Amino acid sequence: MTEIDQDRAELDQALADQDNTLLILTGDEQSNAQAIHDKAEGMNLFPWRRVFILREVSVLSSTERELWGDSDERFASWSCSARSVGRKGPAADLLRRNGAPSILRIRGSFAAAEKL
Amino acid sequence: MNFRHAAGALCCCAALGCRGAASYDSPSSRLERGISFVESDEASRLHPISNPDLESRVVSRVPKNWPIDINSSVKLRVQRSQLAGTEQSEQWLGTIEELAETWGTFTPIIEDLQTYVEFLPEVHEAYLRSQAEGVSSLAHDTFLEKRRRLAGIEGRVTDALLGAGLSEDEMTLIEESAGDFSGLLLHLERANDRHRALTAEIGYKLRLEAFLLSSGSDPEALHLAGYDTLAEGRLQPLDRWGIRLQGKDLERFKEMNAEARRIADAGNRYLDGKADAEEAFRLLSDSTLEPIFTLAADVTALAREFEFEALARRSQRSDAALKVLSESLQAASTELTEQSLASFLEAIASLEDELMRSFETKLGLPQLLIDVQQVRVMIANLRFDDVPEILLLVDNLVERTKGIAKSGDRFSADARERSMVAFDALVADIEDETTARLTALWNNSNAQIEFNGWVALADRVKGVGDRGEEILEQFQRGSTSLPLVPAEFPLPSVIDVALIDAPDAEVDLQRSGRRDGDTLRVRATLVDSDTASAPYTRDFAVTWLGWHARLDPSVILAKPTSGLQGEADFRFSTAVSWLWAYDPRPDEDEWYHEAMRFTDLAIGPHASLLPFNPDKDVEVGLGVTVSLWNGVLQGGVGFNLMAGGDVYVFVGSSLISLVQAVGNELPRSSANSVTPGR
Repeated sequence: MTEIDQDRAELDQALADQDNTLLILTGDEQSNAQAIHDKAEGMNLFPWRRVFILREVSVLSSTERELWGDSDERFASWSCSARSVGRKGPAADLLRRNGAPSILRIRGSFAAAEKL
Repeated sequence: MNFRHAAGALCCCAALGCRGAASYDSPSSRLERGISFVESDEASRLHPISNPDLESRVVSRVPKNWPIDINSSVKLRVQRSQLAGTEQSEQWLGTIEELAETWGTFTPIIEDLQTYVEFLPEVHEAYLRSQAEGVSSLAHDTFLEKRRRLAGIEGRVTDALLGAGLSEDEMTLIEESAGDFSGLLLHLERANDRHRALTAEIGYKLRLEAFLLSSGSDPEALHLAGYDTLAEGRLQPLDRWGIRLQGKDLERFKEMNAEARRIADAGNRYLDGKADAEEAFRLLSDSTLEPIFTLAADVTALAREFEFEALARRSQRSDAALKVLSESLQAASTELTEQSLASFLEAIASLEDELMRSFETKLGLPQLLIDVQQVRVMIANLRFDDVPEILLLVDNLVERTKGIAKSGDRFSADARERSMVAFDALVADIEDETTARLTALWNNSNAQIEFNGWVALADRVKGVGDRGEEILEQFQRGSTSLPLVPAEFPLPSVIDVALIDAPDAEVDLQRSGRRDGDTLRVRATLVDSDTASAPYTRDFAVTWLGWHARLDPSVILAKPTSGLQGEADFRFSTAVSWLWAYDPRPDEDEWYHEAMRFTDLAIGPHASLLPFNPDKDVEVGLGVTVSLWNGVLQGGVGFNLMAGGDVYVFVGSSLISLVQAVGNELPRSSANSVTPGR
C-alpha cells in the first residue's frame, strides 16, 4: 500500500531514489484520487514508477504543497532525477468521460515527467 | 416600357443572370457517405462542403450545384470504412478505421508501439544496472536517457489515442488494452490484419475521376494524384482582379469589343432611319436568332391552314370524298355489309376529327400562334429594352414546339396504323379478288388523298416541332447544356485503387483550363473484380467567389444630360467596365448575401466611346457602372472628356453574359480533352 496518512517515510524513501518517477495524489478513500491510485497500482507498470495517495496535505512541506498542490483531489507527476513536475492538476483530469480512471492519462502523466 | 414588358424583362434578366442556388441532400449511399469534399481556396483557407464542421470527416450533406472558386482546389477525403461497408462490423474494425481516418494512416502508431515493445526490455535492463551501480554512475545516466526515449514514444501514443475523438465504447476497448502496450499492439495489429483481409475479401477498389465540363468543348480530364497517370497540368492561376488577360481570354475580350462595336453601329443605323426595325434587329441578333424567325415564319404559314375557314373547307372536302368512297365501295362489292362499311368510314372520319382536335387543344397551337404573333409584333416595333422579353418568348415558343413534335409524331404514326387496321377489318371476310378491287378503289379515291393530307399536315407540324427542338438546343448550347462524359470511361490512365490503400485526393482547378461558368464533375465508382457500381457523380459550379473583378465589354444606349450636347438623343455605343463584385459562399447566409446572390450586383469604373459629336472620330467618356444579374442589365453615369466634361447617362448590357446565355462561346482545347468513345 502506498497510502500516506501521517507517516511519510515511504514517500521520502521513494523521493530519494533518483531512478523513480512518482505520481502523487491527494484525497480520501472515497475520492476519485483513490480510484486513480488503485488503478495505477493495479497496472503494475515498471518498478521505477510509484504511486502515492496522501490523506492529508499537511504531511507535505510548504514547498511540496506549492509544487504538487495544496488541496484534496489533486495529482502531480514528479521526476526524482529532474526534481520537476511533469504534469499536475485536479484528479479529475485523469478520469475518462464516464468517470473511470484513465490508464492512458495516467501513463501520459508518468511519461511527461520522464521526458524531463 | 410597359409593366408587362418590364416584368418580362426582369424575369428574363434574372433567368439569364442568376446562378442556380446551392443546396444539399442527406447522404444515403455508401459512396455518398464515403467521399467528403472540402474546398481549399487560393490562400489555402479551407471551406467546408460535406460537413459544416471542417474538423469532421463525417458526410452530413451531399452538395448539389455547389459553387467553388475558380482558383481553388477541392479535397476529396476518402472514408474507407464507409466505402467498405465495414462500419457495422465488430468494434475493433470500427476503432481502427476511426484511428486511421483521424491520422490519415494507422501505420505510425503501430510502428511506435512496435518500437516501444522492442525497446522496453533494454530500459528494464538499464534500470537494474542503475539500481545496482548507484545514482552517480554512468548506468544511471544511461537509464535516464533510455527512459526519456521510451517516455517520448509513450507520450506520442497516449496523446494520439486521447486526441482521436473516439467514442466511449471505442475508448473502453483501447483503455482495457492500454495497461500493457504489448497487448495493445497485438490488438491493433490483429485488427489491422483482419481489416486488410476483409477488404481484400470484399475486393473493392475505388475509382476516382474528375472532369472539367465547358459548354461547346470536350470534357477535360483532370489529374487526381494516386488515381490516374494524367499529367499534372500547367499552373494557370486566373487574375482575381480581371486586369491581366492572357491568351484566349484576351482574344475573347477583343472579339467581344469588336462585336459590341458592330452591334452599336447596327443600332445606330436603325436610330438614324437607315434600317427598319426588323433589319436592324437581324443585324443585332446576327445568326443566333435567325433560325428562330424562320421557324416563326413556318409556324405562321402552318397556322393559316388551321384558321377556321381553312379547316372547314378541308373538312367539307373530306366528308364529300368519304361519301363518294362509300358509294363506290358499296357498288363494287355486295359482300360488304352495311355495318362493316359504316365502321370503316367512321374509323377514318374519327381519325380526322381527332387530328383536328389535337391541333386545337392537345398541341397547344392557339398559344403557339399567340406567341409567334407577339414575337413578330415586337420585332416589327423593335425597342432595345424588349430584347430580354423577346428572348423569353422565343424560349417559350421553342419549348411549345417540342411538345408539338412529340404529339405530332405520336399522332402521325398512330393514324397510319389505325387506318390500316380499319381497312383490314373491312376486308377481313372478303375473298382475295374482291379485296384487291376494294384496295384499288381506296388507293385511287379522293378520300384516301384527303386522309393522307391530314396525316401530312401532322407530319408538317411535327417537322416544325423538330426544327424548334434543334433550334432550342442550338440556342441553349452556350449556357446550359454540358458535354457528356462518356459512360464507358475510365480513361486508359485511370487507376483503380484497393480500398485499404485508397488515399485522399485533390483536384486543383488552377491546373486546368477552366473558365467562369464551367462545371467540375467528380465521379466515384466502386469496382470489384467483375463489376462496377453505379457511379456517384457530383457537379460543382466553377465561378468566382468572394471579392473579384472583371473587364466587361458592353453595348450601351447613352444620352448626354448637360452641356452643348444635352439636346442629343439616345445613341448606341460601347463601354468597357471594370466591375467589382462579391459573390458569397454557400454558407454565407445573411440577408445581404442573399441580396447579392439574387442581383449579382457589381460596381466599377468604365470607359466608353461616345457617338454624340459627328465631327469627332473619337469621344471618350469616363464614369461609373452599376451592373445587375451578371451584367445583363447595366446602368451608369459619366463625363464626356472630349466635350468639356459633359455628363451622360446610359443603360446597357454586358455582351459576355448575353453571349453566355444565348450560346456562341469560343471553342477551347486542352491537353486532357476527352472525346466520347476514345
